[in-house]
Amino acid sequence: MNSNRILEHPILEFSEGSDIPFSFDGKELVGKSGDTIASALHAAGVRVLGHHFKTGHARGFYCAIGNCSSCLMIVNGVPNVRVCVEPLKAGMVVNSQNDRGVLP
Amino acid sequence: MKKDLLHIKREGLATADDLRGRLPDESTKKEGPYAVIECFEEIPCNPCVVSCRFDAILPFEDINDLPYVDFSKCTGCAVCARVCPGLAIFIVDESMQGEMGTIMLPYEYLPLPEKGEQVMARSRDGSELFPATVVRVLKGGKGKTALVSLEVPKESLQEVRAFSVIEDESPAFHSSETYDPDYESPVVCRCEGVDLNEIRDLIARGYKSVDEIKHRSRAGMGPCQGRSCRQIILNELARDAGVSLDEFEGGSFRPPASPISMDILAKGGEEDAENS
Repeated sequence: MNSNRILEHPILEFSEGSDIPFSFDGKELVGKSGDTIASALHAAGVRVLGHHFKTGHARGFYCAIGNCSSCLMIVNGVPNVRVCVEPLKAGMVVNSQNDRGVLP
Repeated sequence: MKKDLLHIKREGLATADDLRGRLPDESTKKEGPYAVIECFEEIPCNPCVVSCRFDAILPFEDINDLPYVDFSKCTGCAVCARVCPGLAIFIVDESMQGEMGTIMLPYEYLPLPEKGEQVMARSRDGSELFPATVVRVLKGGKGKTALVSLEVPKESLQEVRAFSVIEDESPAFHSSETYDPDYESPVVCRCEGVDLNEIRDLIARGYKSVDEIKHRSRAGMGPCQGRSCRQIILNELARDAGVSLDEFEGGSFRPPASPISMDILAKGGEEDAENS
């Protein structure tokens, strides 16, 4: 499941985190402590986080620093969450966002 | 910024003029290894000064100062080269007899080459110079940069500033193979779904400022507030007008610096409280 996780890095070292279960579009996935939502999804092989409301283009993990808004998703019912900078918490319900978002 | 460094910001390459004061005199060169610091970034960064146990990097008056080496104190221990985030420090040793010297280069890729391996020495602009032999490898990790020593003819020690691993086959992935500009135009504004063709079309039709393009296309009005697209649009406008980027107004830019929910704006409070 975590085959896309970076384990070897030229400069940084990563300690093995504990498992954090969450759900993505109804599927049960497992991230690691220290993950953001986007890093957990990336490690789980998820590349498409949603689709653009106007063009319908797939949107993915892009700037990874909370700048670009490419990774907006619906988290626990709240739309437009920048998942690249949102820490993963156990039991989070993460869903793809394909529109501008409807406030809860 | 000092005016004489402006051309480096534009061209990205140091000239012989810029490198003056960065090298020891001929007699000091023969005494042992020394650090060459090719740093031109006047930014708040000082790991090299702080890490040097021999006080061989002249103390900063301001944290934005550029580092200069006191070659009478530098031992070439390479501690500064391990911590420089800009990979701008090289350890040169030409104290040995014969034609060959060594240069230690920072390397932040995997896999690391091995001792004895042939690699391609490259110049400051990245062009190929000649194959060179790896004589020493200091592994990276724990926040430190790996260093790789190459054996290089002494007369080329000030030319070699990088290297690449020589691969048997060319890499399988080339972006030019998968990207077809006739098929799709690069996205400029990810928030509002505006591509480069649309921006160029607007410029051709007479919209000549960031704000005009913003009002027509919505590029820059999405949740990221223009952080991804503004610079690209500015580049396009400057290219169209045939002027330098500095001469262009950046358009209106308003807070907040980071997107926050209207709820917090209205009621006040902490962002972290939102999802807990």
